[in-house]
Amino acid sequence: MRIKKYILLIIVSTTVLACEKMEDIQLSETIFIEDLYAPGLPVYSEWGYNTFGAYIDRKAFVSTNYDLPAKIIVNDDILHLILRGRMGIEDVDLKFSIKGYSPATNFDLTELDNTTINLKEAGHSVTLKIGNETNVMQLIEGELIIKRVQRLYVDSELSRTIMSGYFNFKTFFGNEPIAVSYGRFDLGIGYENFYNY
Amino acid sequence: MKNYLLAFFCVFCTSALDMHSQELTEKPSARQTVFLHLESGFIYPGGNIRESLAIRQNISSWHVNQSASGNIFADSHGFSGGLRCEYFSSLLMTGISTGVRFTRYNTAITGYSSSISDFFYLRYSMGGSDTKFARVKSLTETNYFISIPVEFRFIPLQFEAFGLFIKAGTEFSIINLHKATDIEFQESVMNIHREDVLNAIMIVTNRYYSTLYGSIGLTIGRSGRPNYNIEAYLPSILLTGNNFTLTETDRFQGVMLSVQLPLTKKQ
Repeated sequence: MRIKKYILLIIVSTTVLACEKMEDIQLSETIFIEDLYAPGLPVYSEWGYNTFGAYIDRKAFVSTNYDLPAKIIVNDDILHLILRGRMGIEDVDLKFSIKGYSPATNFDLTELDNTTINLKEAGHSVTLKIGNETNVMQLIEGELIIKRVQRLYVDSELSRTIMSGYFNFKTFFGNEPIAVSYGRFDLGIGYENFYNY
Repeated sequence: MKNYLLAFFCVFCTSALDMHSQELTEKPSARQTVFLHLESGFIYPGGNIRESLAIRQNISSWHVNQSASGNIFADSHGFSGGLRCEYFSSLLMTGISTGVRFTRYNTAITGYSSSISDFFYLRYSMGGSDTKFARVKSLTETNYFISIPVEFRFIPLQFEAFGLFIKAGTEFSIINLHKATDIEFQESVMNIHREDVLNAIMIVTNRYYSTLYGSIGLTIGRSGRPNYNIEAYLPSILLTGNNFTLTETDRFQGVMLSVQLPLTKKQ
């Protein structure tokens, strides 16, 4: 009798796990469409194409097909948006740290919809890592515009969150002022790239 | 391209009409024949998927750099059949015809989002904080037109058993008989949302349909007997736009077969 109960439990568990739909892996892949007016950068979109790009002075800093383009880490009332890509032959990480936002899940990111963040305000910071060199930026000016945040349903099931927007800032890097301009991002935030701990 | 075809059509018609008016003043020894043409053919339209159709990774600007693991395709083809009555002058080797033609267009959009996923994502709702995609295997559209063609045919080379001809024509629809758009979902559970999704992609299309075309062909048969014609459309254009929901079609090619039956002969 006990064995029968165990067998039934195994069957039910297996069925439940099999029925649980995983997110479409295709939605986490990168679709890059070059911007006609900003050569080398992806066009701004709100489709969750998992791309970002910006000019650092004249060099294009863009997402790649093989690295996860973005991670959102929420920790101690600070939201960190990390963009990982390439500039020429160098690996580059750009991290925006925003104080005062602590969404519990990726679906709660909608509270950032249509939000403009002045990066020079207290509590906010920008970190730039080029190769092995990491610097917390001494900003001259800058803003992060989260233009649209959408909860995505696929075949009527909640799937992930799409976050799209722009960024630009001026800062010092190696005692020399640089400009990060024409920045744009279109990111799908799901199980694989949202952390809250 | 449109201007070139229009100019060719005008010059051809003017020349044919001019020669015909000369013929009317000719002596009654000139030979005129009335033919009945039974025709059928295949049409291959050309165009792009509508940019307003919210398909994920619908990359319509082909000249930009892009990369994606999937792709979207549009396939359009048509069939036409009809009857034409032609007044043909053997002296001028020129004929003018009109009649009625039925044309059916089928369009299908398919695609894959990765190498093993034969579906694409269609956005059918975007409001507030929520956006809704559907996994779609195919979008299809069918259109039926009844049109009146007007054609001018000239045979520059006529041998005993065959001849070569060139033709210029135009047609305009009098009835858009039927129009249907359908969708096949990847998951059958989405069938309950079929009407919502179709309503989200439907647009008001042009009820008028007109084309301008040219062709070259071969006519096989002897004088006074049924002839068989085969012709290939030169790159031809739609004079009207916005005729289809899924694609922006502005040109077509194709082939036409017809049987030419002599009805009367006057001398």
